[in-house]
Amino acid sequence: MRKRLWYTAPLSLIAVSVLAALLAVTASAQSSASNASGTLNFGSAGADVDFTDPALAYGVLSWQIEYETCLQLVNYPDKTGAAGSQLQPDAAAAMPVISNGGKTYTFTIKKGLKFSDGATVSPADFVWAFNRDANPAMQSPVIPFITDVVGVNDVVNKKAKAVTGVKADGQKFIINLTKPDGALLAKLTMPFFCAVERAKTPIDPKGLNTLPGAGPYYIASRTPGKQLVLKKNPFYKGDRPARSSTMVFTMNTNDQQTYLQVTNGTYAADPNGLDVPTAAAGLAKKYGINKSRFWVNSLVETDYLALNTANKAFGSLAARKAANYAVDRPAVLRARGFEGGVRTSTILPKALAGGYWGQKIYATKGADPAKAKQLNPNCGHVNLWGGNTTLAQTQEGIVRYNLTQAGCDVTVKQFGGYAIYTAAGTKGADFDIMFSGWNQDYPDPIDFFGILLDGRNIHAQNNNNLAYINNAELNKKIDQANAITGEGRLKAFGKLDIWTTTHLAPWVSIDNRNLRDYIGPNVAGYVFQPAKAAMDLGTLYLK
Amino acid sequence: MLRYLVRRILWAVLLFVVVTLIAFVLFFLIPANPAQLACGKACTQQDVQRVAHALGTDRPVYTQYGWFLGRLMPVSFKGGPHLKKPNLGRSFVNRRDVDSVVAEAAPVTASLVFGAMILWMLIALPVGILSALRPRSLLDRASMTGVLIGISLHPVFIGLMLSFLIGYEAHLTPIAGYANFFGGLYGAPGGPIQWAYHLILPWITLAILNAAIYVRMIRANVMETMNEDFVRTARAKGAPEFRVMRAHILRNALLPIVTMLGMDVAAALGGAIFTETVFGLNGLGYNAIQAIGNYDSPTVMGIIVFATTAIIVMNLIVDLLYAWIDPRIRLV
Amino acid sequence: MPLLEVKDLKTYFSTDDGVVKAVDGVSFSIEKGETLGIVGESGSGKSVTCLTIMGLNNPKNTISMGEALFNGEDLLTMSPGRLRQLRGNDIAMIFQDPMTSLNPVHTIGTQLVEAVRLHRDLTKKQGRARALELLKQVGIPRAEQRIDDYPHQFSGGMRQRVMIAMALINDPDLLIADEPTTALDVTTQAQILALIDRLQADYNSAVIMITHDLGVVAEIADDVVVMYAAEVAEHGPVEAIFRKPRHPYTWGLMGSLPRLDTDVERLVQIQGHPPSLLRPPSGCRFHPRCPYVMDICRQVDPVLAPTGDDPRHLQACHLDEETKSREAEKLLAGMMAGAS
Repeated sequence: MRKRLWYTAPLSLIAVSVLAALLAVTASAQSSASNASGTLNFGSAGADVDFTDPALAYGVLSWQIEYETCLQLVNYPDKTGAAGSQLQPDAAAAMPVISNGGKTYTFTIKKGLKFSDGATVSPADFVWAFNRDANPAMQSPVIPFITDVVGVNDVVNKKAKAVTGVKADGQKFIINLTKPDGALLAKLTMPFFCAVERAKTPIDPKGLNTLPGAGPYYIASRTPGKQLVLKKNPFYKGDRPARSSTMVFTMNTNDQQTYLQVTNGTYAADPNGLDVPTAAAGLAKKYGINKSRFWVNSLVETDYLALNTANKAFGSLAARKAANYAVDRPAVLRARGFEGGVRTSTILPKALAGGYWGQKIYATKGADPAKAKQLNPNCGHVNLWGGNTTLAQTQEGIVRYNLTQAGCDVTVKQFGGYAIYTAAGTKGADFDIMFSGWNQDYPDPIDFFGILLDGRNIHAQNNNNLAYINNAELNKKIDQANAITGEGRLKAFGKLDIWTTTHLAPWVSIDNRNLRDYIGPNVAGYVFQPAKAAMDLGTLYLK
Repeated sequence: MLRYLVRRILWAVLLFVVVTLIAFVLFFLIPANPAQLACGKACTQQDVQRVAHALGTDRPVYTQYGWFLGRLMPVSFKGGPHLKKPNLGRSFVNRRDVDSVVAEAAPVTASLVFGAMILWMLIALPVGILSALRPRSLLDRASMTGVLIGISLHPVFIGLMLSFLIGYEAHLTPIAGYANFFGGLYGAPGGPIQWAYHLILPWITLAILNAAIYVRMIRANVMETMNEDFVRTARAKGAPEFRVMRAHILRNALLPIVTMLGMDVAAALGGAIFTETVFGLNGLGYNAIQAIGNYDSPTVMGIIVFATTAIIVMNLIVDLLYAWIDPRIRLV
Repeated sequence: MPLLEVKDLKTYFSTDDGVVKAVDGVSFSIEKGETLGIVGESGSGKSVTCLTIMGLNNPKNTISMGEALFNGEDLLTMSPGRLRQLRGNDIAMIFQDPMTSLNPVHTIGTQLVEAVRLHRDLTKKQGRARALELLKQVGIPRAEQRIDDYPHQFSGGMRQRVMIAMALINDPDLLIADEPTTALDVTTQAQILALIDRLQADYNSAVIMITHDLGVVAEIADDVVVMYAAEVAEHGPVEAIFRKPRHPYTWGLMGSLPRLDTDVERLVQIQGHPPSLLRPPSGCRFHPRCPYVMDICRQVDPVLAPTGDDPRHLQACHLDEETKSREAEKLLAGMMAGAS
């Protein structure tokens, strides 16, 4: 397993004699630091988890970690494809009983579940999770997701100490809402609602680095910025996989180096995905796609150009439709490299569109400037906003060209990092069209429609509705679709997606991005969890 | 001497305030709202305002700067004057104490910079002196070519090539990463030997550029000093060449090098960004880059405070050292 | 056997522009206890002659030919080790600029002790005692305190005294003083010259005094060499040179003696500039500046030959004896008149 090649490597390569001396001394040290069987090493290029405390963790990587360490009320199974998007009870014995017109959810918690320190999991641990989340001292990012839970606002506004809408009753755990929420179960799969042991999880605004977990793994140690260690929960009795005994994450590695280290087996993978996008085509040729070491899967994400309906250039439906014909989607997508994503002209990613995904409402195969001109003969001046990375600049160049071809006069403005969202999120911002993208928080279409397209949420600042669309009919249709639970929910939103794209065209949707994963030569058990939209860490093991 | 020190310290305080104030205001002028980032992408206006209030970013810039300075003071007047531990505040992004961020990153950067400094001086001194002794010789031409290459190559390129060829292909060193000097992380190597073993390539990477600059400097200085009258005096006294070089030429030729070395080391302590990034070394430069990308002003300010202090302190050390080795200079 | 005998010494420097013949066939000798003055404008090769004798030219671009026999040993061909033994011990040198000739980072004590200990097996303490002794001899006040001072804490004159102390510390047989007073003010100049004169008597050293100042030579030299453009123009005992100068260049030098007491027009003044040693003029090198120039001067380089009445008085000039005699008389008479 470990390379011993250096014994045979031509020593003439050693330019510095000091080096040789050091190497001789380190020979023994090297072999003792070998991978014990069952330990997976990961290199996380340029990223650390933001937090390991489930009340604060809010990132793709930290949620991958929480997925392994958290016991949720309901969750998605460690499976790929359709099965992986099917909600299942986790701590609950069965799916909840919904009553009171969709406003009360009653879960029955299984008996005998244990935390990694041996303590028993009780419904009170879920109550504590809500109270901890809502506590103003914690400043948890969960607040926007739980304002519909009875009593949360009082706690946030320091009028009450505990959330009255959640309570434990024997083995029962009950949630009361102020209004029905069809997405509640999907929201509950977020790690914010992970069972936490009250005695070991005080209110701490800095967040806890280690805490007992009731999932298949627990966080054994964390050195911020450098390392995170997961170990198998010895008390875990559930059926979720934990195929390696230990997982060690080295944080903030260099992307190029990590790619090399995955190639030679030092690391099992970078949990954030392939580090060198330009290597994707070569890897596909060498290993095939989704066969052994190179994996491509669709994220629950949409890249789009928001058309500012509040400004003149794209104030009319015809102008917005014209923009949809003008933009060369394949060209813009190609900038993301090999298998960077799948082009689309609708709003929802495939997993949330209930079978309506893939309808070619606008030209997805290329630009149609003639049609665009015909729809919008007097395009005029257009302000295009975007990022300042190399990728962003390439894409801006393409769109600028496309719009110019369609008769517009384009001015590009570039922003560094997050500044574009602060600027564009301020009502009255003077962009006409801007690059944006939305990655799910929880796998439900309301996470797209409710946040990005519901005009009733437009405020003076911090808007996510970058199209600034406020259409009464759309708002009504969103409410109608959101009231539906179960089977018909995704279908209803899929239909709404087609209607919105056709009748309002607030976006020029470009693509749904792919996750490209690359795993080490000695690693097996790769599973893409579609609802979490990430590599499943618990199923990986060393061959 | 005392008067000199007092004056220097007053200047240092002024410099410190000016530097941090400029950095603070610059950060304030960036049109990005750190509260929005800290809050999360699904936040509405009220949510962001709540977070901004908690972070304090809803206050005017002078209030925030006042808090920043207040945190750095060893006394607090809140609830009666009392001593307290100065601190750098808390990160907006991961809420870590910036003290500990800096305290953990500084040894990494220091290991890198001081090790590299020793290496580049070990290269630059003999090569620079020999080149000066034999101008236009094969060695001189080779070393001047090396200098040109060393100055032209980007540390990212050098770092990646070294780790690919020596680490990945030849398996002679680790490809990247850091090992603690005292005890390793879980399952990771640690201790002085592993520390040095992991730092070989970063040291070389950082040393190449500086070695090139210092070879050129030392060569020029030695050549200039060789033509000084007092060197001829030393020879006229019958001093052997080795003694002429050591006691007369180098003592004088290396005086300006000391100043330059002090400044270069101080500047590098603020962050050898490229080298740290290439080798995944979690040092000050790497943390600064990440923090800037996240609009994490407390962390950035913390690193600026450290870097400014390092530069001020190194400046003082260099001046004192200079006064000690060059009798012509008196501190007044 | 003379203490130092220099025979047909040539020193050529190779430069990017070509070969510079800085010294081109210079001969002289000096006996123990004697003083030889070498006079000439800057660039005439007088300093290079002495640096060649000391072996202090840059060996990389210098070719030296001829002989410089010191007690019968040729300084030009001896091993570097042997040369180092002689330098600072048997032959010592004082340089022109005392401001730059001392190492600024060492105390003068350190530099003096270094000079002793390079040649003598003394302890540091003994070396320091010897250094103090010399500092007192050269007239450094409060020598016990000043020995630990750095060069920049001394005035120019004091530094030159330190240089003299350093040169004499090993009791050398030959002391070469390369324009030791040029950088100093007039009062200090006189003091330093008196000091060298006195110490020469005390130590019985031979002294080569390089200068562009004939006044200095007149005061202390026994023999005089007048150099022009890398060659010897005139050479002889000091009385002969001053009473019967036989070379127009020497006349020029004498005519340009600083005369503070008169506004009488100088009889002879040297016009023009010293020639380039890269491409020296044909024939007599002085001819472009010589008021007595003849056709032969442009063609033939005059040989250094004894004058009619004194075999020790050598000169290189095509003018006939009569003219030389007459002109020298005129010059001297004019100088007398100016002086009275």
